[in-house]
Amino acid sequence: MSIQKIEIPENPSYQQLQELQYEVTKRMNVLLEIQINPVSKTSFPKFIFAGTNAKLNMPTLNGA
Amino acid sequence: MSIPQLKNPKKLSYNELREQVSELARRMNILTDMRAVSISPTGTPKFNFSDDSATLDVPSLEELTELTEDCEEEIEALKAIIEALEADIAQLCSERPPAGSWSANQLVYTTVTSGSCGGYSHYGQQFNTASLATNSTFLGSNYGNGYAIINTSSALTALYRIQRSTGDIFPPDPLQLQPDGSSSCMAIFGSIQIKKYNPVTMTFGSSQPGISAGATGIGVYGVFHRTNYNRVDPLNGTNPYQIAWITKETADDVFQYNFLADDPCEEDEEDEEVEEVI
Repeated sequence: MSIQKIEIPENPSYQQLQELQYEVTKRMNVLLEIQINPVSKTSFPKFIFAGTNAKLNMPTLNGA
Repeated sequence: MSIPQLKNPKKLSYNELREQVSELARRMNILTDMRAVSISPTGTPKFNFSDDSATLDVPSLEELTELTEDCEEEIEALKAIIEALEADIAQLCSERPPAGSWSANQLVYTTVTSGSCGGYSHYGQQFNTASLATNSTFLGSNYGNGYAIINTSSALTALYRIQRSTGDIFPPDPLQLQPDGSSSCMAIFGSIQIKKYNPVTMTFGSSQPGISAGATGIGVYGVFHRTNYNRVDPLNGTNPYQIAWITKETADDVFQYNFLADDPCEEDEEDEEVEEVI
C-alpha cells in the first residue's frame, strides 16, 4: 500500500514547518534505499512507496 | 517537460524557508506517486519528472520475449533447411569413392562370372567380361555406393562404380537400380571413365577400359563421371566431368586415388568455425 501524500498547509507555522521538514527528510531517506525487485518478464513494472521502504518491481528474464 | 531544479541558497528568510520546504514536500509527493510504465522493447529506459507527475519508462520484456520467440521459430526453420541440405551432402558424399592408396593385391574382387548382378546394380563401361558378385567388397561403406578396381579377364584393371540395391542409402535416382539379371544392369547407366593424362600437352587421351597392369600402366589418369541423367559438373555444366585422379607410379599395381581439390565432403577448419558460430 502506498504512503499517503504529505499535506502542505498554505502558510505553515514554525511547528508545521518542522513537521514538514521532518517528513520530507524521512521520505527522502526511504527513497535513497529504494530496492529493485525482479519480477516475471510478463509482469508490469511498478513503483511502490510504503512508509518504511520503496521498491521498484522490474520485469527480468529470470524474474519470479 | 522536466521540472526545473530547486534553487538552493545557503541563507533563507523565514518565508523563503517555508516556500522551500513546501516545494520540497510537493515534489516528494510527486515522487512517491511515481508510476513505472512499460514501453517498447527497443525503447530506452527513462525517468521523467514533470511538474505534476513522475514516471519511469521500462522496456517491455514481454514484447521482447515474443520477438525472440518469433526469431527462434525462424531459426528452427532455417536449421531444418540446413539439416536437409546436410543430409543431401552426406548422401552425395556417401556415393563417392574412398580416397587413398589401393593395391590390386588387396582388392576386392574374386571371380569373373557372368549373369546375375546379385544384390547389386552396377553400371559402367563394360569393356571386358567382368561382372560383380554379391560378395564383392566395397571400398568404403557396406551400404550405398562404392568403387572398385577390378581385375578383368584381359588382365586390365577397370574402375567400376557399384551400387548396392539394399541398405540404408539409396541412389539419388531410383531408376538407376535395375532388377537382378537385367540387361540394363550391364549397359545403359551412367559410367565411370578413365582417361590417361598427358602432362606435356596437358590434355586427356580417349576413354580407356582401365589401367594396364605392370609398367605399361604407369601414369596419371583422370576419372570422369558420365551420366545419362541430368547430372552435370556443378562448376561448368559438362558431362562427363572429372571427379578424381588416379596415379600409378611404379610397375606394381598400386593406385593412388585423389579427389579433386575443394572436396565438399571434406570438412575444413572454416566449416567448423561456421558450425561453432551457428
